[in-house]
Amino acid sequence: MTQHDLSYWEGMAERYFLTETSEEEEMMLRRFLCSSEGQDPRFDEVRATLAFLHVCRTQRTVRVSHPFRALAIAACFCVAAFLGWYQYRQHNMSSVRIDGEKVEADASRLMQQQMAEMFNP
Amino acid sequence: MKRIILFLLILPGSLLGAWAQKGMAIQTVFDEMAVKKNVTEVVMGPGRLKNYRLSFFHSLEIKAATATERQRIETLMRKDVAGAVLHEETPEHRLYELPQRGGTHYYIFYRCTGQTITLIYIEGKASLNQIKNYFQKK
Repeated sequence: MTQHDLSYWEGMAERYFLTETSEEEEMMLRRFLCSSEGQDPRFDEVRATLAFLHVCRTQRTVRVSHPFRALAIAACFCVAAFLGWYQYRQHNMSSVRIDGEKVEADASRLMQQQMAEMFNP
Repeated sequence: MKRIILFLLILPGSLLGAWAQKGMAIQTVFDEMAVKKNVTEVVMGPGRLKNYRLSFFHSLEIKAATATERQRIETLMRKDVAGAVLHEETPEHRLYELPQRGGTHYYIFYRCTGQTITLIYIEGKASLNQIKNYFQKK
């Protein structure tokens, strides 16, 4: 790119700050600023401005509230509560089944009895 | 939003490590036999076993077991104990310790007297000697 070209872009940058550029010209200016010639210190100001506006736009996009956000958080808490309850239940689990039927019996006593028989033949 | 989805995906994973018995051959025996007549099944979780340094206890006591049932149980059990690191066998009982994982011991105990079969699966931090000390009559 020639010096003349750089002058052209300088002029375009000035017009950008005066809001006289079209959308198409802005796109061209962005592309030029991404090129190696656009790294000239003369374009630091316009590069910084465009970069700042780009970041603002990106941030705004992320912060757009999702319509299902509250629902997702509520679902998350429900799942966590269920899993917590499930783990607690499994942790303290104790069940006895006799002849295929669940019965209220002292599982601990049965365990001790079976283990004692295993080790004291 | 991504963090919430990730949380929802990771949380159930914490439960998957529970009880290695799932996937073992003797699980079939527990599933099939527990609903039959003359069978007593006992299941206990870690909260009830902390005094014994155990985290899971599952037993089946089968009274009046047929020869076919006995053979099936022994065949399936043999698959699981093929890689046992320790085994004690007497005519009446067999004790097997499976390879440790993450400091947890896995045991299969089997006893057959007459027509009564007792099959026990245990998980926990206790060694075989410690288990014997807990339950052997002094």
